[in-house]
This record gives sequence, structure tokens and C-alpha cells, in this order.
Amino acid sequence: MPDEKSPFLKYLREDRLPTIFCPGCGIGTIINSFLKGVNEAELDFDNLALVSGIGCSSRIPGYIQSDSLHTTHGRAISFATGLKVSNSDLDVVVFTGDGDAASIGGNHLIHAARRNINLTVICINNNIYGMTGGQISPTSPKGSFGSTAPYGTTDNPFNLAELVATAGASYSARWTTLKIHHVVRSIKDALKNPGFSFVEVISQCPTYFGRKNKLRSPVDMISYMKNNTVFKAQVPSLSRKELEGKIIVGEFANTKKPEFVENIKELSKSKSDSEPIQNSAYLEEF
Amino acid sequence: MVKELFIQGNEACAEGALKAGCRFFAGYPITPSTEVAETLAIKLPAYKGSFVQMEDEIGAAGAIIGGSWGGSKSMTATSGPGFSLMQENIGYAFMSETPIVIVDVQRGSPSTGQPTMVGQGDMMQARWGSHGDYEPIALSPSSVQEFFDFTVEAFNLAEKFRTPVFVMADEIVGHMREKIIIPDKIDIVPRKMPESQKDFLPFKNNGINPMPSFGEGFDIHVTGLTHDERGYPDANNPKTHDTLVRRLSSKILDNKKDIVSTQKDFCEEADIVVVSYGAPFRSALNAVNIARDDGLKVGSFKLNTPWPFPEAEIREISKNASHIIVVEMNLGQIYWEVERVACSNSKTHLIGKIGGEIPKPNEILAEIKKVGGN
Amino acid sequence: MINIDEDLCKGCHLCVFICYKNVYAVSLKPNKKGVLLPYPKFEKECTKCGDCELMCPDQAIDVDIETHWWVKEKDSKFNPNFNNKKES
Repeated sequence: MPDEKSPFLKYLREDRLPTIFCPGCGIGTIINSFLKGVNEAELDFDNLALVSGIGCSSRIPGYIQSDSLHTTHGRAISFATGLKVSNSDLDVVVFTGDGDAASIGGNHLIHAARRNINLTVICINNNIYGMTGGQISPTSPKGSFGSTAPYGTTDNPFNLAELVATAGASYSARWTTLKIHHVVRSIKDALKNPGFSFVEVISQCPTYFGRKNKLRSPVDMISYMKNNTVFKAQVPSLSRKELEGKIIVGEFANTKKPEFVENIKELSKSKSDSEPIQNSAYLEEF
Repeated sequence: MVKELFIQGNEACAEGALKAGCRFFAGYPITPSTEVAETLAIKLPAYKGSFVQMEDEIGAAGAIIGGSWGGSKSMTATSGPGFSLMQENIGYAFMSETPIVIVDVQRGSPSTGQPTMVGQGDMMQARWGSHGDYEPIALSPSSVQEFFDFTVEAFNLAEKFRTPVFVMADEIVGHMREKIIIPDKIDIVPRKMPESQKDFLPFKNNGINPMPSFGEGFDIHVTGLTHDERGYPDANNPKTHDTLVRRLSSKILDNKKDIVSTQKDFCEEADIVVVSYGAPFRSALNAVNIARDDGLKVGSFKLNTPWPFPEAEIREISKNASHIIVVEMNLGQIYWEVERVACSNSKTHLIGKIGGEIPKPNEILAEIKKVGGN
Repeated sequence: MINIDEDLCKGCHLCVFICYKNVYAVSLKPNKKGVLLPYPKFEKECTKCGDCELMCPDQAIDVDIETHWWVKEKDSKFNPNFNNKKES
């Protein structure tokens, strides 16, 4: 007889549940798909290092039973860079949100993609700043409402998955929380890809985005997402007008490129006939 | 084998870092600290370490904190503007008790100021730069040899107390060339891995805790939020916050005896004491020697560790001295600390030289003679 | 058998929306937390696809499927990958 509790609870810090996330928030779904992705990629949970910045999405590492670093706003990718270079055996995963990754941390995001450092970045894009109370974010669709855009935003949003692919990432994909099996497969591919991997998941924030934009319940939000999703392969056959306000999902990059930490290792090997030593801080002599 | 070298201060800093076990450096180019990064970029691969040039100083500070949790002694080097950018992550390092070393080769400030000229305007930024209550450790070298020694000491203090340590050098010490002696054996403090994973509390309310690295199965959660002994956020609990922040302060203040370092020359009977740190100490000691030749009762007091501030030592000095002259390259930062401690016993005077030049011995001598009544 | 953890469920009803067999219904009375709990009214329709379990943001649903992904050994024991633990 299998356990009567959800299978995902085994991977979580159960003493911290229930989570702080609002009812119907997509972040919980992404926790599940991440855990399933790790399992399908056959990674060791003790070898995972989860890094995050500030925001709702960045609370994920605090709930998963593994080493986790909850850092300053927007800087998660820079902390992760240090962690990965210092100990390249770790599977470093960054959980970040749209504000965290694209606004305050935009520079770190594109530079990590440029370096093609072996990190997996899971960006939970809910198009709004949830933790601070519903301000508009760099990915809020044009015309959407937020507490700092009471008359609707006039800014153009970022297309994160395309941006990161253009900046040089070797894997980049976008899905929605509803395309849950795609998310799982994408996370699995991202974890296995030896290079910078970016998975953007469009998620629902019924509490703020929904309330400000007349999509009050989680089900309203998710059915809106369902009706407005277009696969990347369909795009060429659609007119610009048909594509307006649509969420384009699919893989935007999936290539092989030289990886940053491997290059550092090669350099170290050529100068000292050994890879960088790990856990060197614990050595008594050098 | 003892090595004798004739090198620049910034190069000596890099040598010191390598000797102390630094195997991860992340930085961003900024005058006048670039030679530290350049030297380490050449040498780290041969020492089985890693060098990363980050996209900005904020990223550099983040990367060394990540590097430290990855199990390497980590360092960055910068100057005033970069130090300003790093402040948020410095606060994070204090809160998460991450040992890192930040070298600040100070230049003329505020803002972009005088990139190639000397200044000591970052002293209070090292003390209060990040928001909140914390107790920093800062070392100020006044010669190339000291830049080497203090960098080693900075790593040792960082590991010993699980805290960020600043090396507050200045452009003169950074760019000056002098002979230095690198001893054969250098005492270094290795990090301690906790013994057992069972019931391990990484942030136990009991002084300084051993620090595990990531990937060892400790399932540690590191956060900048107010956290309990397990490391889990508990930000709405006044008691957790009070206990945590008081412990972080007291782990430095209770160990002041082990941290504070000063250099006293002729202070025992001195009526006038010249207090200095960093490059101006060179002029100060020179002026004191000349004044003593003239028969004045003058002493020199040097702060090797401006932070934590050596209050007890300054108070002791002030009991005998009727005048204390503080020499620094700003308009009064450490001066006010000296004034705070010594004002009930001695009169304090400031020689605050800005503009990118070191205070010259004759300027200090003139002040000594003025307050000495000659 | 479908099991819903009453302590964890926050009542978002995404399971009701996502189930393609319409297994779930929503209870009319709120529980002690004020949550209108879903319950598997038409459980015999369930094909054990596990989508509701994967979708549930609060890890409140368990659908017991012996062939599902987390079951690696024949005794249906759940095996998380934790290898580095020195003691367990």
C-alpha cells in the first residue's frame, strides 16, 4: 500500500508546511514538476543546490529538502555562479521570478547566459510583483493593470525565453503551469543540459494579477492561459493580429556550446595539472 | 624557504590571499585595485583555484558569498564606488555568517572622485555601509609588508569568526613598491566541517558555529531573512530577531581581545599622541620621531584594526595624554570615534587631509608644536 | 483511491478544473479552515493519470497508482534519491 500522502511531500521540509503561497498559486505546481523533473533526470537530491533571490517564487528553496541559498533581490544568479565555480560537482538550480530575474537581476541573467555557465534557471513568470502587493513587472502585458499601473501599463514587456536564448543560453524554453507535462520534460532536459538552461513558466497569480485584471479565481486565470496559448510551431502560420496577447510556448534554444566552468577546469589543468580543488577551505595546509 | 620580493602593495595582497588559502576570486575592474585581480588571474589557475570576472561589483560580492558556501575561501578587491555597490550583499554575508574577504583600495571620494589619487573616505562605510546592526572587522595596512600580512590575517579572522572581513587599504599602499619578506610557514585557520548531520543546527544560538559546505548532505538553508537556529525564516518573531542579531554582534564584541590590534610607539609617557592608520601612519611616525628629537613628549598610536574600534586602548592612552591628534585622509571619520572615547580626558584634534595627497610629516609636526605650546 | 489532505488543501479547485474525467466535485460546506474542499465524487471514473496530483499546488492530493513514476521497486515503496547522507 503506497503512502497516503502526496508523493512530493517526501522531498519537502514537511515541518514548514503549509506553504506561504496563496490558494491556487502556480508556484506549488512548479515545485511538483521540478521534483518530478529531478527524479526523471535521475539526479541525487543531496547534490542539488537551490539558489533564489527575493519574491514569492524565491521561497521555493526553503521548502525543498536540500541545500539552499536564499539570497538578495535579483542576485541569485551571481551567487549561483560563485557556488558552481567553487564546487562544479553540484547541480545548481536557480528559482527566480519575473521581477527578480528580468528587472533587478537582468544584468546577471544575460551575462550568465552569455557565459553559458552550467546552471538551471527556473523563472516563474506571473507578470506581477506578488510579494510586495501587485505592482507591474517587466513582463506585465501591455495594458494590464497593477497597483502601480492603475490606468494600465503602457510599457512593452520582455519576452524572457527569447531574450535569454539570444544572449547565448544553450537551452531556453517557455511553458505555462497548465502545460504541466511539458514543464516536467523541459526541467528534465534543462537539468541534463551541460550549459546555461532557462525554463520560463508562465504562472497564475490570482491574488494580485487576477484581482487587478478581472480574473479573480485560479480557475479563471488558468482557463485564460489555456485559451491564449500558442505553440511556437504555429507562429509562422498566424498573423500579427492573431498573435496579439498570446503566450507563445515551446523551446527557443537547444544547442551544444562550450561551457564556462569546463573552461576554467581546462585552464587549471593546463597550468597545474589538476582541476580546481574542492572544499579547499577545509584544508589545513596549501 | 623564506622569500624576499620587491613588489607592489596590490601584488602583495594577492600573494597573501594565495598563502592564506584563497582559491576563489570574483571581481570587477576598478582603479586603483585592479592589480589584485590581475595578479590572481595569472596565479589562481596554477594554484588550483578559480578566477571569475563578474559583470559588476554587486555580482562579484554575490559570487564570493556563493563561492564561500561552495567550500572555497573567497575574496574580491574593489575601491570606493564598487564598495558602495557591494553593501547589500555585505549585509547578507553578515546575516548569513559567510566568511569572505573584501579588499578596498580607497581612492579620493565621494562618487567617482579621484580614481588615481589616495583617500580614506570609506572608513565609516566599512562600519555602517549596509543597513542594520552588525559588527565588522577591518584591517588597515600602512606598508606593502602589512598589506601581505593583513590579508592573511583577514582570511584567518573571517574563518575564525564566520564573518566578512575588510582590508581597508589605500591607493598609496596599493601602488607603492617595497621589499617584503614571505615567511616559510604561515599560520592559517582552516574551516571546520560539522561532525554530525544528525540534529545539526547551522545557526545555533551559541557563539560561532562550524560551517558545512553545500553538497555534503547537511540540507542547510541559508537566508538573509531573520532565521531560527535551523536557518528557517522566522521574520515575524521579535524574539528570534533579537537573539540572532545580538549573537552576531556579540560574537565579535566578546572576542575583541583576540581581534583588536594596535601599534604603540613611545606612548607610555606621551603628553601628545598622534593616532593614525593606513598610509598616513608613515608620515605620523616620522613627525613623532622628529618632535621627540626636539624634546617633545610625543607618541604614535596606530590602529591596525580600525574596526572593531579599540576603545579600551584609546581610553588608556587618553589618561596620560592631554592632546590626541588624529591624522586621516578624510574630513573626520575615525576622529569622531576617538573624540567619543577620549573627550573626557584629552583634547582631540584632527588633521583631515583630502585632495589625494598624503599628510606630510611637517604638517603633522606643525600641529604637534601648535598644540604642544611651542 | 484518491486521498485529499485536509490540512494542506487551500481550496483553489485546480484539481476540479484539470481532471478530464470530471471526477471531482466541491463540497457545499466549508471545513474548519473555511475551505470548500474538493472530493472525488465520481471516483470510479478515475483513470489514475495523476494530473491532479501533479497540479495540486499544495501537495494535498495522493492518487495511488502502482505503476506511477515514483514507484521504483516492486513493494511500491517510495524511493527518494538521497545518497550523500552520512547517517540517516
